[in-house]
Amino acid sequence: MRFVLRRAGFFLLTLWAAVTLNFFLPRMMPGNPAVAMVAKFRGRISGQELTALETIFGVNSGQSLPAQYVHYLGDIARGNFGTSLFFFPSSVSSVVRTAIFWTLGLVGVTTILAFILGTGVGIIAAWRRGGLVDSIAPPVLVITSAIPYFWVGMMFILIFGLKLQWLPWSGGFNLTDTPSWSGSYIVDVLEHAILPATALLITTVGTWTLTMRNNMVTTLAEDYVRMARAKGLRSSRIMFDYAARNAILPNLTGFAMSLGFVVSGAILIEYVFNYPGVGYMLLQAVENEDYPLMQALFLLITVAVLVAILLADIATAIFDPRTRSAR
Amino acid sequence: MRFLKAVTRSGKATAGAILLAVFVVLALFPGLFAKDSPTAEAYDRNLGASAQHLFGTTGLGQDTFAQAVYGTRQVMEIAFGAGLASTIIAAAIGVAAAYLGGFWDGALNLFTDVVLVIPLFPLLIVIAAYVHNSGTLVLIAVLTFTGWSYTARSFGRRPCHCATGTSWPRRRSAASERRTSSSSRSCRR
Repeated sequence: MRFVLRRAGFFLLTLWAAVTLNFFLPRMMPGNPAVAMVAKFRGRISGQELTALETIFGVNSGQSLPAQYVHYLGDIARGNFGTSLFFFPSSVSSVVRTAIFWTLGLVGVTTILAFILGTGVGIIAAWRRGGLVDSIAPPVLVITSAIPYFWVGMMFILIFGLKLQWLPWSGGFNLTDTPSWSGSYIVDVLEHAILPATALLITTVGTWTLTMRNNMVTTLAEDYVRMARAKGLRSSRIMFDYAARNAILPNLTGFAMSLGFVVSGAILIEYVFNYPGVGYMLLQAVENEDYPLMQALFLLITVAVLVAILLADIATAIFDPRTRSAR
Repeated sequence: MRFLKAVTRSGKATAGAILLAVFVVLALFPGLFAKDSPTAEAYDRNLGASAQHLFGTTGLGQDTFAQAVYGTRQVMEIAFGAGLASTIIAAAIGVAAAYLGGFWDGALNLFTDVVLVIPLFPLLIVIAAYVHNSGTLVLIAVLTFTGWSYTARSFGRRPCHCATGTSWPRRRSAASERRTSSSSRSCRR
């Protein structure tokens, strides 16, 4: 319990640090480019929206810095991130909400698939050490996990998108389609997801297999596994309940954290495929000097990572009794 | 000389040193390898790779190979600059934490952990968006500011868990596990 409380404290501290960093970033920058941007929009936005933007970027010089800070914290707590300038007049929160749906669907699902697939192959490779799977999978996966995923993405676009014209390679759905729960639209979305998802899967599955295999080899050498064998337990029981159950602990931490990085880690893959997720949105915000959207996205990504790390810590505390006794 | 001996003794170190040397030479004397100017728009646009243009040409008719060769210098400047600066900061903070001990150990390590978990790549993008026309120095500063925490973590820690003789590594928090896991995994038996 103390362990979890400590980690929760760390979570709050880091969250505060990230929010504060987000507050000071535009103010620290030479000339505060955001000021010029807000000034440019003064004629178009009015009233409450303008005030919100001004507090985010410290344009409203009438307030002192501490007062701005308190105001800013209040806005953040209420989820008020201002108005997006590029997607005017949508609010930043609504823009982010649509983007996160795409990212979770593409990268989230791919990460979970990669974890399950990779861990499974790792278990088999370690269980039949020196067998067929163990001699093929690790060397191949070392190579695939060393290739940058955006490069794989670009090659996919070149081969399957442009040369063979098998699959669509840009965007999340056909622009002629109207988003709905109809069959054709769902097929369309799935078709658009195949190339980026495969590129991600190929390059991320290796890490899970390799670490799982190595952890598993270590646990298989432990005395309690030998004990289980001596007791004459079924192999499948030893394999999953004794060896894999313990070997998966370090990977579980990694998995929870990589779920956090889902939000940020796929910036490049979304950029390559013009996929309308959070990462692509961030780059678009940068290109169009949409500072409110940019800052909200950075904060969102940071929070996602922090939450994932906290969850990873809690999961470890639950599955690994040693953390509970330590400290 | 001792340095040279250390490098030649290990095959891996030799391979790495040769690779590095290639890029150092490229960075120092780009003119020897690329005959074209990287900015001259002297050729047809969007040519494929050929003997004339090893990497083809850009949409503006510049030689891509020349751009890659001339770009090496800036990349090397940034890499060495950021690497050196962040190692100095990391050494100062990591060693200070381990040496002073007690309150400072906790405080400095906590500070390092906080910086460690803030996602780097988006932060880099956001900072770069605010600093327009960022030169080499700005890039070095940003990379240093965001990159020192990982190294600092390894300064303050004992080199390897195996030294304690237990096969179970001491459980660390997820935050420090995140980027140090690969290094600790290699020493796990």
